Amino acid sequence: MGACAAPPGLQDEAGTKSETAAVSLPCGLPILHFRRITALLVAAGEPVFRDRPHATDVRLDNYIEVMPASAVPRSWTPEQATSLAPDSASLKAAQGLASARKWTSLGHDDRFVWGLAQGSGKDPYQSQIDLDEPAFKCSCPSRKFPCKHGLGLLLLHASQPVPEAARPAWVEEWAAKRAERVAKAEAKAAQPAEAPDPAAQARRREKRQANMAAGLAFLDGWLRDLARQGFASLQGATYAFWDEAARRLVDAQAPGLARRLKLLSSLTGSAASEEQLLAGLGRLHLLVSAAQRREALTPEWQEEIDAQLGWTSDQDELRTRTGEQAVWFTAAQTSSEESGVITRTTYLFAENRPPALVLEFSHASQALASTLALGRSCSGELVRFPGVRAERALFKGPSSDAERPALRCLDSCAELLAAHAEQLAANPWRDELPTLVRLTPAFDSSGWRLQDATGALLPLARDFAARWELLACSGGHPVALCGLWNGFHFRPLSLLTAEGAASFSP
Amino acid sequence: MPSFQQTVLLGTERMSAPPTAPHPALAPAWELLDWTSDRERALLEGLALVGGTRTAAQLSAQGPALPAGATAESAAEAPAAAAALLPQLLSGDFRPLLGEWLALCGSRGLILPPLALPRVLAAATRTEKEALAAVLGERGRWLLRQNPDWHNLLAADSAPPDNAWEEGSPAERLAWLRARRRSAPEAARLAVQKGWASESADFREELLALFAENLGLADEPFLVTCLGDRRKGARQGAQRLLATLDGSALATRLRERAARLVSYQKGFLSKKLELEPPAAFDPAWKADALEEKAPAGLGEKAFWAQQILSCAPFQDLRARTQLDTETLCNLASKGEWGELLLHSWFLSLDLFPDAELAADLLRRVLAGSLKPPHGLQRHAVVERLLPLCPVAERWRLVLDHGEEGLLAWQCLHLLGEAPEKGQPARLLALLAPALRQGTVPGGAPQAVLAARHLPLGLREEAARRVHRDEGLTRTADCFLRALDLRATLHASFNVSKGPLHP
Repeated sequence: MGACAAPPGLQDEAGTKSETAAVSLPCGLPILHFRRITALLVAAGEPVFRDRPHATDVRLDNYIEVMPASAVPRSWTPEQATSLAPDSASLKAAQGLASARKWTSLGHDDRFVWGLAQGSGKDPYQSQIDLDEPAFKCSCPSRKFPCKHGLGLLLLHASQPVPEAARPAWVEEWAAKRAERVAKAEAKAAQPAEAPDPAAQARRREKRQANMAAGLAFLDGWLRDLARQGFASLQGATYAFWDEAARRLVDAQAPGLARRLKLLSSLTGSAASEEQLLAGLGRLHLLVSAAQRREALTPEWQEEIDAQLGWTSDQDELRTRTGEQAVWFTAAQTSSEESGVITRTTYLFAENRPPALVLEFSHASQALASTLALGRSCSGELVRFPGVRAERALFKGPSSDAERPALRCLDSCAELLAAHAEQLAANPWRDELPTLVRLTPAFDSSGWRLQDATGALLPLARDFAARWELLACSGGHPVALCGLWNGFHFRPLSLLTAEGAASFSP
Repeated sequence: MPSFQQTVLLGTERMSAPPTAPHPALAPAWELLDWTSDRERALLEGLALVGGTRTAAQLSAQGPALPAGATAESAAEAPAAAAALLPQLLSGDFRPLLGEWLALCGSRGLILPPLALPRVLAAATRTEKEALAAVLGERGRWLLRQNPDWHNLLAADSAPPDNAWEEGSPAERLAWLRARRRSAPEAARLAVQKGWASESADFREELLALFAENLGLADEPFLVTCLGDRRKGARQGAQRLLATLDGSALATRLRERAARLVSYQKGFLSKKLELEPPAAFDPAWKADALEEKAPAGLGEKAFWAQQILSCAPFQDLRARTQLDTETLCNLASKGEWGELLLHSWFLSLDLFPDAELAADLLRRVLAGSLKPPHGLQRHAVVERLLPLCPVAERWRLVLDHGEEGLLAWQCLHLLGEAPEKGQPARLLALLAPALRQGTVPGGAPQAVLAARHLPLGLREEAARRVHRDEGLTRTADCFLRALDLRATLHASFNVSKGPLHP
């Protein structure tokens, strides 16, 4: 543990003068506002967050244009189709079905693709896809979604478009049902929802608040114990040490805190991650402090703290809000699985808007079939979750395919650092910056990096596996990427191409 | 005053005094920390300040100058639909089809998409390197130079640096010698001769094997000295080289001895091919690296005769007797020493490849009229002889004898392209029973290899032949899926028929 020496970038050089302002974070600690390199803003101990005076000094949309707008074809690419597979077995089976020989009565029109697949039964399975969503329907008995027939049909259509034809009756029937369902949903949305019992709701909330308060007190004590004993003691910490604390927080109905703690536990055991671990523990302390004095904060910060602790937002209510109408480009998608639940994170970018994250959840055996497929651009309305500088958002349907917006990529490391610093100054828990960059990957004995034209570099995440793929795509020249910068490492998520985007995972 | 770093490590319990701010820029904030009444809180807030500063306020470091990038491509990338098939071909059952992907891509003058390059380079084997080299493009060649592992994959045949012989690893020294034997055989031999005595016995054997390249009479004096090497393998290596070197004294001696051992008698009604084994081991033979002691199971005289005969070309006998291969083999098989003669000729094929002789001997082995030579299994005989036969003969042999011992399955990789229409369909008929019953030797990978060797026009018939009412076996399913995948692969390159089966 040797990570608390002077921050290496803090140099007293020309152009790095400190700035002061009466600004503090909700925890009461002075806010760090970073302009280009750094300027420390010292608060006078004001308990309430106030507007920052230099918020516009560094703009998130301060990009250099590298990706002109281009038409994105409506058709699905094989990669996009592959990304919908619920598991590798389904994908393998679907790949076997992605051959015209396996199908009869194949056809498609501007919205639907359909075909008959001979299965083990007497009658062939009727498989059909609504490409708009996409939505799948198949008469096979599989419980997987999409089933191998649906996925195989989409893969086939993506690689060699099936012939254009008039919809058969069974497709027409489904199309009519879908239209009916949409109409019903719209009608239902128009009706005022039945209000839940406010008294019972208040009781439940009160009980959870009490649980969370106990959880916060526990975590505060846990952190203080660490501070008392010294952080060198973390070197020998076992899995149980972290897991037990995380479970206490889950019991206290504070899943946000538990998740942060689990993420920190993954940083132990490596000298290279110590700085990150200690910075993360500091940030966790800020969160505990802020939550313990929640009532003194502005509504905006209260909502932010609630989200950080793990309170969920009422998505139905969010849908009623007016959002940001724009053309949203799906620049990257990641999936993670925990306890049988798959979380898919979609990174959306639009012209002159901060990036947005859409989280979707599904059971491990079922894929998420969503409009937001990697590399596609959709015109639609997006509502951000409550909070300060919120990234998480909800994509309101319906949407339609659109030309890709004229997105801009940062081509200088200094600009990226400035944008990240500005984001952290606005919200210390927004520690990962989703961004589009155009930099050159390189490596030597000290590791892999992304470098700009001035020679400035960003280290690449050590566990980023597709390093050679990245290098191959760049050919030693700047390459457009979507990725995350966390102040320590850049993690590429996808490669931006003329056609859209490509994932680095196989 | 202690540093903040010390305090973080040791904790507030062992804190003697409040730590100093780790950087002057943090000093104003540092003053607000309460190190007196709540030390733990002060430490945690200090951690937040330093961590936040480190996370957000660092200058980016400066990297070294970037290496030159790849030059622009002149060839187009393979279509996206074809590239999308690569993950299936790079792992699992369909791996044998990667070669076809590469060949198709190369035949259309296309190159691998950059994103696929690392996985293909990591997976490619030496047998695929030629096809791979054709589809690398500028980007691929640039990438090879960045990674020594990949560079070696394709550069093994290129000349290693000049100092590799003196300073390189054993593999690099062998690569150096291989390259030099090609470009400057004299200089290569002199370099070997210079340090010959100090080389290890194993390495001497490996070095001698490389002299087959550009072998000439100038090499004879050195090779003659090697006939007396301490290592048996090295002696025999030199003997084999000299035996194949036209005009060498040893080759002449061995041929004369072989001619003396085998006599052809042409009577009024019959012809005879007789072997007269040597009565005793001539001490002079030792200098020619002939061994005196026979291995277990073989008589001394037979062993001496076999050594001599296997070092002489069968062609000599054909020329001397004016008989064709089949007649000679038939005559030999009727004599007392028939099997010894045929086995000796079989061994001579290693030094003197002879398509006719290989086909005749293989036909006899497959028909059961000739036992495999001492210590060899039938499949090893097939592996050695079939590649020596012309492609048309290979197909004839496999189609005639394919049902026995699943020969067709064993020989798939040796068959090459079918010379006659109708032969692939006959091959399919031979392969189908094992697919239908799930008894394919080698399982799924072999089933995919079978699909690789059949024209796509046979897909329907293949599906019919392997069909089973109770459902397809796993190997049959794999076989049909491989055929389908090949069809998709060809379609993705926008061709109706692949170059492998025109």
